[in-house]
Amino acid sequence: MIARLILTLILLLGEFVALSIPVDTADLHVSTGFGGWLADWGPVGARILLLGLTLTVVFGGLIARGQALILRERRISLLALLAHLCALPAFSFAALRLFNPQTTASSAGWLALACMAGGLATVVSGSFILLPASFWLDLLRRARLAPVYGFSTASAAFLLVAYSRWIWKPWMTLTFLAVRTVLRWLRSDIVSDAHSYSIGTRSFIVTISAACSGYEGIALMVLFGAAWLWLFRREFRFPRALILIPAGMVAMWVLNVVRISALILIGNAGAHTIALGGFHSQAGWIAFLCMALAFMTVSQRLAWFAAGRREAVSVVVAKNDGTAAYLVPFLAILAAGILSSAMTGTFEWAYGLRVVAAGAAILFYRRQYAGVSWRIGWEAPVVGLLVFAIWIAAERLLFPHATPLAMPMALTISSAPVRVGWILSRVIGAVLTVPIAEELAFRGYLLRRLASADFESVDLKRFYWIPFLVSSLLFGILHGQRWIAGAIAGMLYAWVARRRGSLGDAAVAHATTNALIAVLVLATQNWNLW
Amino acid sequence: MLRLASVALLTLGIAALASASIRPIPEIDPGSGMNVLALLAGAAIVVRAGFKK
Repeated sequence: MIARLILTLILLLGEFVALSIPVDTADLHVSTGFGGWLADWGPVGARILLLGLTLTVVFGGLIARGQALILRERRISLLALLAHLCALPAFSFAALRLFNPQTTASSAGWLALACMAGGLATVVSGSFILLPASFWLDLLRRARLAPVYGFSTASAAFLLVAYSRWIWKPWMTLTFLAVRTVLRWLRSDIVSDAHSYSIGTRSFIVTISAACSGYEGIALMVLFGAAWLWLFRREFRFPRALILIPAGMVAMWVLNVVRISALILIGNAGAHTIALGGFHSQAGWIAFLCMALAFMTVSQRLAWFAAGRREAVSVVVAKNDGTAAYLVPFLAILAAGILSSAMTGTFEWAYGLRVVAAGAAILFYRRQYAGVSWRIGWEAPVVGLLVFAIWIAAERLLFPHATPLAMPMALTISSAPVRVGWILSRVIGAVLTVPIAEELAFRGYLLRRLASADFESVDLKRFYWIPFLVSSLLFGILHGQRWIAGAIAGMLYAWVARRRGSLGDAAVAHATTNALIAVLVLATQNWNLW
Repeated sequence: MLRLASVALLTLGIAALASASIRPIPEIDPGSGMNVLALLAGAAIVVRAGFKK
């Protein structure tokens, strides 16, 4: 039931996001009447509808208690799918017509009505594809008040959002005072203005805005902490484990004060571009990731938070299967990427850090890969070549007007040894460490883990549709706007790995693609592809 | 009661995030959000499974 609810949400949210790319409510020049009202409240209404439906199911499950809502229907509803396939284009058409600069006041009302009906039909039909009518009726029968609770909470949440801006000013003041205190401990030449929230030294001053007050970090910690405690609720002793959430929130705020103080000190040291560029955008993520890791480790390792069944936790912790060996090299690349971006300004000078981090992780776990087949067949480079061709074709088809990017200016004006060194590290990363780390994570772990909890017992030669599609799609999503080509590449790498059950084939195919892209970038000087 | 409180907290978190996303944050690279999510999910899996060899 949970999987179907999540898939339904992914479907509806995906459609919502996809539609919000061509449709911009700001394009509606009619500010009065039903059309204007819909432009103001439509997106909020859609969010409340989606959150309300989700919370209805969640509250339904809670109210029904022991009698979990059982989904008897195993198939998908073809009728709902058909209705959805009719409603979605109708909704998209109406929305595209309505939110258009040429729309007049006379047609806006009718279009707004069509838009609202189409949107509602899209959400309702979408909700019935995987969660059929019998499920919703069962939910209403067992928990009549679930929709009331669900939609009230959703509306309250959005009211909170709408009226939460009043908190920003006192929050900014608190952050400003804390940063000033920290900096005055460290330096004597601090200048500040409490009215404009400006603070710094004589050579480098920043203004603390609402966005810098640490609001997002705290929100992320609440979300993460609640999700973590909920997921593993049987392992924790309540209510004491709940203390981790306010503790995490306070720690996030303190880290944000440290982040702003460090930013000012970095800028004062002369590295303005780093302070306002990479460090500004990445340090918040680093703080959140560190806190999330600390949250997970503390909650898992400290016996004080554990429920009576401590042995259950110990079993999980002591299991030590190959998970870390398969995932850590890939995670090391991601972590090093965030770190190197934070350490540099507009150009990622420290790219080599990714290569070193992944290489070190692979070396550390090398004995764990003894059971993995690294045999390589002729198909591997052929598939690599095919993926390269698809990648380039997709680039031409999807981004026909993209202007070719020349070599980044920072690299062009650098000395020859620095330039060659950077390009070399970029090529080694693309051809060696990235293919091995990503194939270990996506084909070695995820593809098999989605098939069985004991993923190491799953033969790569076995084929499972859902793991094949989901792991490839996630691999594609990791490639940002090139997600379609990325997903196709993931499927082809999974296919070549399956041929002989060899991860080596997938890694070589992946390395071939990346090597050809590197050659193309360097030969044509089209740096868009990197 | 505890479960209801957890749901309420989760909803509050989502609301706070939605609030944060109302205004644009130009200095944040949109791609890094996906990397952070992947890193967080991966780290959670590894913490659950154990780090050691």
